Amino acid sequence: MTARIMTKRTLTDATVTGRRELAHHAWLIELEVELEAPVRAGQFAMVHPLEAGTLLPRPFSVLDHRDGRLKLYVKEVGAGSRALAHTPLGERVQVFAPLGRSFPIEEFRGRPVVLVAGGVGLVPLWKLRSELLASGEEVPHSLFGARTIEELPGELLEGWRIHLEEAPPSAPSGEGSSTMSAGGGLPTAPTGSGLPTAPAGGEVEVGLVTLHLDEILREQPDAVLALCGPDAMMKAAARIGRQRGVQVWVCLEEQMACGAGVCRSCTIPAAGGRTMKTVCQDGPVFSLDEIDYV
Amino acid sequence: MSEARSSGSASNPPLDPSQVDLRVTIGGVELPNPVFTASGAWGYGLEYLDLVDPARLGAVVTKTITVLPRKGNPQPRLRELPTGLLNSIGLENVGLGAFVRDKLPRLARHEVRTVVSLAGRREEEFAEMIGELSHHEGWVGVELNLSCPNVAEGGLDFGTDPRLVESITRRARAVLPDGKCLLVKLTPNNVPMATLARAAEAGGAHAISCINTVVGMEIDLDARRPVFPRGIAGYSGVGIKPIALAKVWEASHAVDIPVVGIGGIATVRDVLEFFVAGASAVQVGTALFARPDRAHRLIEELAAELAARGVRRPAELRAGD
Ligand SMILES: Cc1cc2nc3c(=O)[nH]c(=O)nc-3n(C[C@H](O)[C@H](O)[C@H](O)COP(=O)(O)OP(=O)(O)OC[C@H]3O[C@@H](n4cnc5c(N)ncnc54)[C@H](O)[C@@H]3O)c2cc1C
Ligand SMILES: Cc1cc2nc3c(=O)[nH]c(=O)nc-3n(C[C@H](O)[C@H](O)[C@H](O)COP(=O)(O)O)c2cc1C
Ligand code: FES
Repeated sequence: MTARIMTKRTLTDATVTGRRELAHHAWLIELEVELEAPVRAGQFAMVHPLEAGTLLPRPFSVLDHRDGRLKLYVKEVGAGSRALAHTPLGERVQVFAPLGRSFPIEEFRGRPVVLVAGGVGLVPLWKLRSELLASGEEVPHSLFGARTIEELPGELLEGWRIHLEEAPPSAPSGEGSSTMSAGGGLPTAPTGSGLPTAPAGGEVEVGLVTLHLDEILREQPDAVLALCGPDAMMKAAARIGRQRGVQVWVCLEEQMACGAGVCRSCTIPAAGGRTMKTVCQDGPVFSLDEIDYV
Repeated sequence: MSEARSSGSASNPPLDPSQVDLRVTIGGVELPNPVFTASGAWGYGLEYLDLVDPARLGAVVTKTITVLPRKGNPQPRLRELPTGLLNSIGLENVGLGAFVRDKLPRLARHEVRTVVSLAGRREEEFAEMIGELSHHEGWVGVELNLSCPNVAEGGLDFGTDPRLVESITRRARAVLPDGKCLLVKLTPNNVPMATLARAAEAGGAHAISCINTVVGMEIDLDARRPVFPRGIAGYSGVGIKPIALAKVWEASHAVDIPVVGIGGIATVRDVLEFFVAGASAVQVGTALFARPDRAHRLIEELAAELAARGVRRPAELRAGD
């Protein structure tokens, strides 16, 4: 098992320098902030809008951090995420980062990495994919699942195979079609909605993101499977991975207060169920054999 | 006391912050300032070494320790409300053995003034745990947690019976090594604070910690049942400050030993208000989750704020009767 690397954390105020809606109610937020340690894929930040925010900060995975710019992709689901998504440019938010344990990228070297992401679970896996590609590794399969076409953050999906649960209204092959090849024309958001279209070159299919996973893993017995997304999706994918005997890593979410292993509010049972692990510090990235998950 | 109470009027000329004396003494233990971290809000005092120096705090009160490790309660454990938190952590902790082996030596090395929060399942267990602690360095006192609403056994049951509060305190005091202080943390629920505070004082407590969380509940309307599996949970944060102030007032009028005020403290103004209500020191809990360096900031702000008000010592702020 990989030892946890304790990185030096930074607690500071950051300035909002960018905000752009990439998908329906989901924003790319850029913060100007110097962190004392590099951020690795899977690590997160506790972010607290200082004005009109919630009592507690909220955890968000780091999409990217370089040159003093921290990028987050924030979906509005409640008061905290809404406050962050709507913090005006130039205003300040409190940032505590980097937190948690990252994907053990060294262990992935030379092995085919299969990524399965859903919703904002894209964020840590997007970073993992870009770190792997940057170091010359291959990422043969990057699968992204969303419910509707409006949930697609177009510019983040280059190189991802997209699975939609609901056929888009403007599906080129007409109603009731279950698959669309990228060559056959990409679905676009309803005109006038101002929402992004699926990226050129991406492949889009209607059906669950786990549809072909078993097939993929059968052909790649030495694969590493990395998962982040809604619980039901991760559990389904993790079961398939376990049945195929491949190594499975999951990036989990839990309600957090401190983000630092202190309040014990984000605990889950460790494998065997006798002890607890914190999602914020022992995770959020776990190997399937560390926890009681599926 | 009466001398201190009569001074400190609002019209004092300002002082230089260096003239302010923040020291506070509890049971013969002198602490450099009256701002502590509350139990359960700052771990074992070692979790933020990369950010701040825990030795600058008046004291660190640890997460409550039990004889054996505890896993705590199932999820959900914590809910955020507009005015505070509801928690049902259930005293998850590493247990006394691991605490003295792994934490105390490090706390000693970092020269942290550690107050070890203790909870027992039996009356005698508190004293037994102090007996074990007395073989080790790295702590200045203990805080008996007689007030946790989140465990089925012990906790609140002990803490609402004044006779048990007194006898547990007495047994603990009997085995407490010289030079250590004994704090007793009381519940705001069910029993008048004055009754509990007098019981703790009669048992030999050096100070009263006041208050632990207020019993509360959140309802899942769709499911038509409480959100927490145990039903009740512990309410903390800004919303309980008025309750805490009233309980500190009550306790400080009932006993002669110092009262440590806890509940919803987030700003230096809050700290001053607790001094006015009769507290000799304060603990910061919930507010540390959003800013783990908040207690450190409060210590700095406190000296400046007292100086600006021309107040030399926090005790001068205490209201007359
Ligand atoms: C390690 C970690 C990394 C995360 N990374 C990201 C990220 O990169 N981008 C991002 O947008 N979010 C991310 N999240 C989730 C994010 O923290 C929550 O969405 C946020 O805390 C919700 O706070 P709120 O105040 O907006 O909503 P709340 O008021 O707390 O919740 C509002 C409603 O939304 C529900 N809800 C809460 N969380 C979610 C969720 N994740 N999805 C759907 N419904 C939810 C709640 O049950 C509630 O009904 C991450 C969470 C963790 C633990
Ligand atoms: C998550 C959490 C865990 C807590 N754990 C303990 C504990 O282990 N022992 C204890 O005596 N009090 C515990 N408390 C209570 C606090 O120490 C404090 O008495 C209470 O929260 C009121 O102060 P606050 O409003 O500043 O948080 C806990 C509180 C919270 C919010
Ligand atoms: S969020 Fe506090 S322990 Fe994980």
